[in-house]
Amino acid sequence: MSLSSSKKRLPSKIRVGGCIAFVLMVSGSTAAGDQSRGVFYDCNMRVTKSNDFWVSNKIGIVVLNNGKVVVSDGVILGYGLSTVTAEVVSSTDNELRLKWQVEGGLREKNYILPDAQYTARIKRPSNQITVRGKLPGYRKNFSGKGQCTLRQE
Amino acid sequence: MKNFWMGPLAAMLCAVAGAVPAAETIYGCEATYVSKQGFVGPEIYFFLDEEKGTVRVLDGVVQSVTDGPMAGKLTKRSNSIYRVNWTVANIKGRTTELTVNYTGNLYLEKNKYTISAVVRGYDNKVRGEGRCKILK
Repeated sequence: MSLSSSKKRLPSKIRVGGCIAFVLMVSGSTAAGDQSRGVFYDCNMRVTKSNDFWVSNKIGIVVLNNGKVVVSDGVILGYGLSTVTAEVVSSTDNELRLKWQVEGGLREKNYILPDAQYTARIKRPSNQITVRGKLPGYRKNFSGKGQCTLRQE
Repeated sequence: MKNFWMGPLAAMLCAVAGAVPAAETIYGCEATYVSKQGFVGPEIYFFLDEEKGTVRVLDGVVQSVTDGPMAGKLTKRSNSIYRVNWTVANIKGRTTELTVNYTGNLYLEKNKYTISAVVRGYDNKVRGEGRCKILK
């Protein structure tokens, strides 16, 4: 089944760098209150024709010291959300694995956004990231690689 | 004095409400089964207006060719079962554009739906079924 429908509804390229950082800063401090110390992965992704929109050119991941992980990117903003909470699948000295889901559904009684499920693998200490996405019920999968810059606050 | 006005006021409000056509009820349906050939998405929305006898349909296939729901033909099979027919043309296939005729059955009391489709020019038997709920 074609996914052009969903892509047609959303801006093909969302410039989100500063926006994501701000969203994550606000979200992280709100979510954690006084315990807002954590690590911010500021990730620049390589966008290709095959993963356009579904893998954002900028992904921000905040790993708070309390264990909570918050993600924001162009897809999440395009869905009308600011952040989603990610689940830590595994965290070792060599890598951090995360997964998160962006919920879609009927919007404005006029169009459908599909649910989107993502996994991310951040290698340590290089901070190279690989993101894989899939839309449950659809055949097409997406993936992208990039480089994260680590910021500790 | 207040009670004096309540009767006529209530009657007037009822009359006004009666004059307004009933809005569409949106049935949001999620598939529990779809055949492997494609052309049936994991979710579909039926915009049903029982009073007018009209229906609009929106799913991933419809959305790939139109900007929003498309009108279907509504047939009342019983008090709680409706059949919906719609045709989606110009679906981009690998080599050619396809036209697919869809038939859906909406079971209002059971909150279920079934869908079957015929791809014109092909023998594919496409079908799906699932659960529905009314969206507000």
